[in-house]
Amino acid sequence: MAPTLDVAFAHRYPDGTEIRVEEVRLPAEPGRVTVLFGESGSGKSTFLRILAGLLRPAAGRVVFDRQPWLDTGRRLFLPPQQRRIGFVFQDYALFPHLTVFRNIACGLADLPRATREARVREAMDWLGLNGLADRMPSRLSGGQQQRVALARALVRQPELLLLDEPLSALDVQLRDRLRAELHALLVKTGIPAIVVTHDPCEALALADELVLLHRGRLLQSGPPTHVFNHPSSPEAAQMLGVETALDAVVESREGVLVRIVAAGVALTAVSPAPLAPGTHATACIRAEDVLLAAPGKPTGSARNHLPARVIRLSEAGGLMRLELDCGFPLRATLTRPSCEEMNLQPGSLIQAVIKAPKIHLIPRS
Amino acid sequence: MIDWTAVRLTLALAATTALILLVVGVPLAWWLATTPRRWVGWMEAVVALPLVLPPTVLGFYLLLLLGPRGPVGAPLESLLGLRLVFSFPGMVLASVLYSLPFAVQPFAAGFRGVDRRLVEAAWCLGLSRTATFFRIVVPLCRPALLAGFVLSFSHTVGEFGVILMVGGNIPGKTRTLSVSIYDMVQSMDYVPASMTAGALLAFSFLVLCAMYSLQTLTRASLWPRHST
Repeated sequence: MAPTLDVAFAHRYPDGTEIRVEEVRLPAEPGRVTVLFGESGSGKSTFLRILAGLLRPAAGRVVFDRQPWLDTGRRLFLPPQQRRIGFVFQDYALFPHLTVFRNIACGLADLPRATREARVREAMDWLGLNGLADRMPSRLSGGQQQRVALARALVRQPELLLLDEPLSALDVQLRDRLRAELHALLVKTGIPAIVVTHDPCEALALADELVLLHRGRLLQSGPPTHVFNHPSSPEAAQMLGVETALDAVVESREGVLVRIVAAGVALTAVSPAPLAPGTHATACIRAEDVLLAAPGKPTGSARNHLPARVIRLSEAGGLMRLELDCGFPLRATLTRPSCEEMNLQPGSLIQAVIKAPKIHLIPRS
Repeated sequence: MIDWTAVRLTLALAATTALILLVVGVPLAWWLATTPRRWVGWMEAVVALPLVLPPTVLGFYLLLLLGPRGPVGAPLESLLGLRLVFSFPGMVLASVLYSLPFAVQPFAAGFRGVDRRLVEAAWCLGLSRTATFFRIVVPLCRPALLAGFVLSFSHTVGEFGVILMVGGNIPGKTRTLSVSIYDMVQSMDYVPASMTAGALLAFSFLVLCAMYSLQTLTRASLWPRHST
């Protein structure tokens, strides 16, 4: 049986905020990345701290790969020291009085000196930290600090890696660059990872499994493109802010224009980042960026004209929400008068028009 | 001239007091710093009491407690033959109580200043609570520990009221430097009094200078100025 992480808990903070997660089973196969996604106060950090054993909830159960870590019913609570986890803190929490080498070696005190040094060197080598062994943390760049924190967590060969907003302490340009890198790294570790983030791009770039948390409740979980395309509730859809997310592959590139293929359909997108052909990416399209036109010859300046069929119409907040099939499910919103003018019904054939800059690409490793 | 016996006695008293406060004060301060404030408010008040209490008041109660007929002094004397009043151990006990806030408050401030996440990071790396304390917290709090040690040492050197009440003024046994200054002034020996007073002033000033420059150095090595 593939390893899983089973979690259920209820915790109330002194200020009255309650975080309650009903029984959820997360995949914990080697190298699999689960993202806990939600805004601040959604309970995602509480979730992570309970997994780490840094917080003991009023009631709860955590079972990792058939080992019980927490069971308040049986008064069982393993402290973080006994959980074989690696925790990467939001601002990395490197020990300011220890060099890079000693930071990484800190968790290996029980190993013989030679083994310990070999393991630290190996981790530093793996994360490209060579030459920084004697550096103090305050003399490292943000990206280097992140890698030291990762090395310090990985060197103990944990069974589960926990990362709290791993990219939020970095500046924007670096964040964009490290996002894809981090995913590749997490996969390469062969250790299941749980990542907390409030950034939808980060969630899409990192997640193999996405868990939505909202106001202390778990809203939905599943593979990210599934969660994005089939939000189970209006809150979920609103949280994600993107109505359509597609797995896409870059086919060719000409300046900032990128040809991609998603579900067998060719699309043109704009990406300021240089994406090589063959790169996997998630293509995000907001419903309000999809225009509708009568079927026929493409006109106008937009790069994407897709023959589509209306699947479903529904009203939401005074606007009409449409589900279209154009080889992949696409969501669009339009006003009621436009809808009536075009006489749209389920089954109507139309043309969906999307400007290239409105297809947002999030590269995955 | 300066009473060198009093100098030796004063230094022995201050060193013993500061060492005892390091051993007793560190766990007490750690407990105060890591327990929610609403539970430890009363304990903090007890620790801080010597800051506002007239030394004679503390000395008076200690004298009552430790005296040969006191509730602590009587059993000690009858069981162990130990008399605390007008003796060195009694003065040490009085100094420890009187200098408690000078050690515990800087220690606790230092412990409170340690980023909680560093402690949690150490736990997640498998370090036990004790190992975390000695390998992470203590090194980070070195300036605060040094401050508490130096302050309790110098405060004891300058102690007068409590010492006089509990220790009395026995030359060579309980007469400390500040008590000897008082004696000299009483007998109009202004020259040795001013020499002793001047030496104490210079000592206190130098100790504080040394402490603050050490602290600045430690901080600078941990947190060099960034070129941002």
